This record gives sequence, structure tokens and C-alpha cells, in this order.
Amino acid sequence: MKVNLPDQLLLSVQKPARYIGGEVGSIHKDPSFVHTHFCFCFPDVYDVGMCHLGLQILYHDINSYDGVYCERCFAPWPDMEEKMREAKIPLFSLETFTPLKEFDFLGFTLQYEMSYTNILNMLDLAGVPIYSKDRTEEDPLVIAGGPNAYNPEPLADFIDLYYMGEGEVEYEHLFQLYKEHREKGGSRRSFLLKAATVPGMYVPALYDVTYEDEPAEGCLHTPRIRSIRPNHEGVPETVTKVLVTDMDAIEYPTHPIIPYLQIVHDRAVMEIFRGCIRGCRFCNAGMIYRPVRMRSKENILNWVDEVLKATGYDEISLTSLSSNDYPGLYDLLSTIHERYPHVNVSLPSLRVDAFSLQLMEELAQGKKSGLTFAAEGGTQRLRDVINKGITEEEILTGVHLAFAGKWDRVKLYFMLGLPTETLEDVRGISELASKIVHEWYTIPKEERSRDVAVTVSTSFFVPKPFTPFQWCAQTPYEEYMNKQSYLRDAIKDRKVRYSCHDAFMSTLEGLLARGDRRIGKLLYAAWKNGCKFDSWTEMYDEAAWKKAIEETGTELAYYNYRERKEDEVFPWEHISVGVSKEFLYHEYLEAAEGHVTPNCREKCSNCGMLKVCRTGVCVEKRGEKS
Amino acid sequence: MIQMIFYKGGLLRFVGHLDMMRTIHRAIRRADIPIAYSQGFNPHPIMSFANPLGLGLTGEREIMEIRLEKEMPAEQCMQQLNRELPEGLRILAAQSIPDQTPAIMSLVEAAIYRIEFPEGMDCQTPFLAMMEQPEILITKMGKVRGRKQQVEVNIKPWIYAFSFDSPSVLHLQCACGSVTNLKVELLTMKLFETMGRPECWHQEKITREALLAGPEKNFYNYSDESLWD
Repeated sequence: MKVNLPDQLLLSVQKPARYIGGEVGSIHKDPSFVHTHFCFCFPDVYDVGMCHLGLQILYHDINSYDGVYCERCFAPWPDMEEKMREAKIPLFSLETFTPLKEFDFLGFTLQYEMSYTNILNMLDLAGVPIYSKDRTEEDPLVIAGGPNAYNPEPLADFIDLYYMGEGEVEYEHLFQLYKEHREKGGSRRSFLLKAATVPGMYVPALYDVTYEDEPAEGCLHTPRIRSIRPNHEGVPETVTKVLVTDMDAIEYPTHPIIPYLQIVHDRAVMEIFRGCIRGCRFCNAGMIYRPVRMRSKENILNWVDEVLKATGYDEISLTSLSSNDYPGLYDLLSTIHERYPHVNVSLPSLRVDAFSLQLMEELAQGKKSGLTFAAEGGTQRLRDVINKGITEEEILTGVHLAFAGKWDRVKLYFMLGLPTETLEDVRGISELASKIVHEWYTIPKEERSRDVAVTVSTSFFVPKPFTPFQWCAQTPYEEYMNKQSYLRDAIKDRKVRYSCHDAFMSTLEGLLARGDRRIGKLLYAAWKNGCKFDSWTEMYDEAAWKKAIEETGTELAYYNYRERKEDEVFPWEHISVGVSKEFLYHEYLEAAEGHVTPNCREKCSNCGMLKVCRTGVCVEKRGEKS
Repeated sequence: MIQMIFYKGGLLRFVGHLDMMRTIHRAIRRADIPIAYSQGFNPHPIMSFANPLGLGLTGEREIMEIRLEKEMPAEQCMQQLNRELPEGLRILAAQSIPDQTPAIMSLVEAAIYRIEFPEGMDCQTPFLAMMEQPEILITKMGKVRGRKQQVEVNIKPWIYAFSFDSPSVLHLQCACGSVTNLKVELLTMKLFETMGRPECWHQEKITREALLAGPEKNFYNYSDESLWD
């Protein structure tokens, strides 16, 4: 059955092109000739979801398998949702307009906590029971993956099966199992039992969580987790992420889907490496994507050729978690620039020095875009605590050079509420910004641009799973806000602009990030109270969230404000991303001492990754620096 | 310069004008057509369209022009571009024209629309009654002394000719240009309102069949390649 979208309906919503599919690069197959029909579901609106490289990678990867068809679905914007509910149109896929309920798999990607309510809403719009336990043999299997899946527990009640790790590795295997299961026949549960034995697969229903008898210290009624154990024979005690061991041996989506709509990042994307050597202690991505694995320059250049030819884009972004850690980066960039002088090349987090400034200008076709520094902490002491290897000297030398080259906009990113942070650290943010402005004044009038603008942006630190700070107490809301107003008052320099926002969303993020199975009922209650698109300020309903917290008796004292002890059994205790708990705890202690840990290229710190695989930076010769 | 007559329809009807322009530009790049760019900090491709087509409308014979950096035969341009265009966009004819040709936007003054109302609905009687009135007033967003606001305009003078194929199929010749322009969707909205059936708006199918040019309303079909030299 195909969903029929009347013109009248499409003409009554904003941006109807979100719902029509048919883009260049989208793949069309006849669903009746495949054994596995998969729908990649992005729990946010089309314009956001289509910027996601993981979608393009998985879409093309899964569609390359014989007998498998991968389609797409995004969360309809509330205006469309209203029309669909009115007209009783179920949620549908963009390629063949098939109702989601008719698929074999619905695959949700978990990119950020504030998208979780959209998953519940999408299941509801699809007519698929929201709770996993209520689904029947007729319903699709709901699978989830992505960076936030490593703490699968807040959504454990709603997801049938989790995929831990990089999508390129085990989907083919999983679909093969599914094909056999379909041929032989058998229940949903029998398939899930088999799937649970595939590397990286986690079936929440096959694990039991037990709790302590007494509430945790300082909490009214929430006890700590005692254990998380499989409840069925043959199900692994620990699920370890799967990862690509040779980045040059896998395909790259050189023929991506090209949206009609102008999306947030409307350009070609080339992933140059995966993982990060830096080991910033607050950073979840820096831990879960270990180890660093490079793509070779030859492959990157070939793929850049192909992707530009196939798309017609005039801008390409080279993505990674930290551009400068690509050995031979400048060489790579110069080559791309020589080959494509009219293509705008952008790349995130480039270190600022004389060479990179010149290169940036060339790559941006003479445009002087703003400079960005993610200093994160206001003082060197705090930057050592978080292991952020950037010094004040580096920043000041960089901006001096840039100002002399007539750059005039600098953006600085910081986090408030980092562990051990004092008011002195907060003041340090303002001082650093003023020093930067001062650098501009040291340059003779005729050599600098007419004016300077320094923007300070702060976000709030949220402790994340699988980081050394997973044991930390999160800063309470009031304290977040006090620090923010303290900083606002401290910034007196008229050339410095400060941009900040309310902190309660960060509290919610922290709650969901380190939540456990008991958080499922909170998510359900929040959704029932109308929460969706929570990351959109115009949709975010703080009162509805607070009501849900109250209704479900969720204790922030337990989830947010409690410092965990060394022996804490985390909700993600049974999941392994390769980095060991011992290493993370050691890093937590080092942080308290302000000890810096060298990056992976300088020295191996025995994070535990080598026990999972021998690849990437773990087996590179040391001392090979970019 | 290459002038092209193209079709826009199917699901592409829901892609707005700016998004369609970007789609065509990327197709031109993929097709290796040496399009020229403007000079300056933000070079943009030199391409122009006769008149933006409203969301939901089909354009049977739309017109666009692109400037080339180096010569390429019009026929080859069309073939290469058609290979790269998505379903719903198609070049029907192409010709080389001198670079000095006046801008297409300033030449086109009118258009012919076919409006198919829901089957069996008599729209002829209410339409004729509406045309009997001295004025047909619609409200639209417009500028008054530079400020954007709702303004009331009389669109009757912009309707040049009409005929009914049947009581539910209207052919309309009306203003379509950079000076005066009738958004046909606003006319159908007005019509449904006078019929007391506002909920029917957008159920009608609107097709722009041709773009017309010519001085003093002595129009000729500008999107008919048989009139090319």
C-alpha cells in the first residue's frame, strides 16, 4: 500500500519538499522483490537529518546489499503532523511512500538526547506500538544505533534491538540472519535471540536490571543499580561495539542524496578520518570513536573527485573530530585547491598559524570568515583538568597573526560548570576575551581592519557516559545560571559580545544522557505531555518536561547532582566501547590533580582499545606527527 | 547565451523557485556545461528565469536562459543537461541567442493558464458573475511606502482573456511579468470564497501553458520554439 498525499495537503504546510523524496541520488527499488525492507528514521526534521553523514553512509551501504532496500523517513514538522493526523495518514517513507508499519526494520539514529521524544512520536504516527513489549509479529523490528546508543537504557523499553558501533560492519550479517529467519519462519523473539549473538547487537529485553534495596545516598527513593545481567542462555554478558578496521577498505557514499531544499549544511562532505587522538576528558565522541583511523590521501582525493562530479556541489567540507590531526593535512588541502580552484573547501577546528591562515583564505576564495577557538575552559588550570591541549599563548599568537592579516572576527567557545571550576575560571573567560581585543590594538591602525568583534559563547557542561567525567556531579541549574550572570557582569569590554542561553535544557540532557531504564517512563510521560522537537527553542516546552519529572517522581538528585563512587554500576555497564572503565577512572583522578594526558600519537595511555582491535593510531609508529 | 524551454511538473511542483534554481545549477555543473559566473566576492551562476512558478503549479513551457563562458551548441547543452535533471524537470528545446538579448524577465508580460477545478464543479457561472463586477479585490502582501503589509488590489485589469473548455476547466490569459503579475492561486482562492467553498482551495490543478511577450498587449507565444528563427 502506498500513502497518497493530496496536493491540497502538501500546499497547506511549510516546505512541502520535505515530504516528497525523489532527490538526485535517492535509490529506487521495488520493495516486493527484497527480503529485507529497512527504513532509516531520523528523529528530527528533514532539513536537519539530511545534513547527517551517517545517513548517507548507511543508506548507500545497506542499499548495496542484495535483496535489501533502505528507505528514509524524518520527523514531520508539527504542521505536517497535524494534517497527517487529521487525514489519518500514517508516517511513510520518502522513496516509495510506504507506511512505516509495513517495513521489516525501522532504524532510528540516536544523535542527541533531545531528539528522544521524537522517536516515540514517530512510532505513534506510524501506528507501531510505542512499547517494545506491546509489538506483535505484524510490527516492524525497531532497531537503534548512533553515538547515543552506547547508553541504550533510557530508550530500552521502546527499542527491540540496538546496534553498537559503526554501521558498515554487521548490518549485512544481521539481514542475512533475518532472511533465514523469514524463510524458516519463527517468532519475533526467536529472531531477537539469534540477533543477540551477532557482534555489537544488544537486545534490552534479554537483560535484567536489579537494584539495591536502599535509596542511593542523598536520594529519597531511587536506589542504585546492583547488576545488569542477561536473562537467557547464549546472550553475551557484555556487548562490545563493532568498528571498521581499515578505513580504505570500505566504500564511501560518493553519490549522496542531494536535497532539493536548502538544508543547514548544503555541501559535499568528505570524512577524512574517524576518531580523535586528543582525549579531552569531557568529550564523549573522543572516547567512543577510538581508535583514530585515517583514510589515505589517495583515496580521499579520488573520492573528492567522484563526489564533486556526482553532485555538482561547489563547496566541500572535510570532516573529522579535529582537522589538524590529519598527517599531511596542508598537502591534502593544497592538492584539492589546485585541482578545484573554484570549489570552496571548509574544515572544522583548524589550528590557527601563519600557514593555516593563508590556506584558509585561499580555500574560502578570498573570503575572511571568522576564526573560532574552542578553548572550553577560561584558565590554563581548568584546561589542564579537562585535558584540552590549547594554551593562551597559542590563541594569542594565532589571533595576532590573524588581525595583522585583516581578519576581524573571533569566536570563542567555553563551557560553564566543568568539574573543579571556580569563579576565577569563569572570570578567566572574560580576561582571555579582553586580551584578544588588546592584541588587535597592538597592531598599527593601517595594518588592521577597521573594527574587531570578539564573541564569547558558553554552553553548559553535561557529564556524558564513557568519559572520565561520567562519575561527576552535574552542576545544578541555579549554579549554572549564577555562573552565567557572573560572567555577563564580568565582561566589560565593549568589543566583546556574549551569547548564552537558559540552562534547563542542559539539565534535561544530563538526565537523559546518564539515565537508566527507569527513565523510560519519564520519556513516555514527557511525550504524553506534548514534548517533541525539544532541541528547537520554538517547540521546547520546559513546563511539560517539569510536569513529567514530577509525575514520574524522577529524582534529579540521583541522576544529575550525585557524584558517583568508583564502584558505581552504570546503566551502560554491560556495554563496551573498547575504552576500559579503569582507564576512564584513572583519567578522572588525573583530572582532579590537573595532570595532562598526552595524545595518542605522542604516547599510548593504555585506554584498553588494543584489547578490542589492533588498528589505526594504536599500531602507528609513534613520533609520526603532522 | 542559451535559451531553453523546460517543463516543471510532477513532485517537482512542490520545490520552490529558489530551490529549483539551485537544483538546475548543480545539474548544469554535473553536465559539464560551461556556465559563466558573475564577478566579485560571491560569484553566482548567470542564469535567469522568465517568471517564478508558484508552489504546486505545473509549468509546461517555462523559459530560462544561461550564459556560457565558452561556446557549446544548444542541442548538446540540452542533451547533457537532460541526462542530469531529476524527474519532473525536462528541457524541451534550446537555442543560442545573442548575449545582448534583453533580459527574459523584462520581455515576458503575460501567461496562459489552464485551471482544472474539481471534476463536476461548476465554476463557470460564479466566475462569469465575478467578471461582471466592476472590481475583483483580493488581499495580498505588498509594499506601502516601503513597508510590507496586507494590501487590497483590484486584479480585474490583469485578466486579459478567458474561456471555458467545460464548466470546470478554465483557460486564462493574464498578467505575468515583473511589472504586473497575477498570482493565479489568489484568483482561485477568491473564486472559492465567493462560491462559499473556501475549503476547496488547492484542489484545483493549475498549469501554466505558455509565457507571452510583446508590446501593448499584442502578445505572441514566447515559449513556442516553432516561432524561433
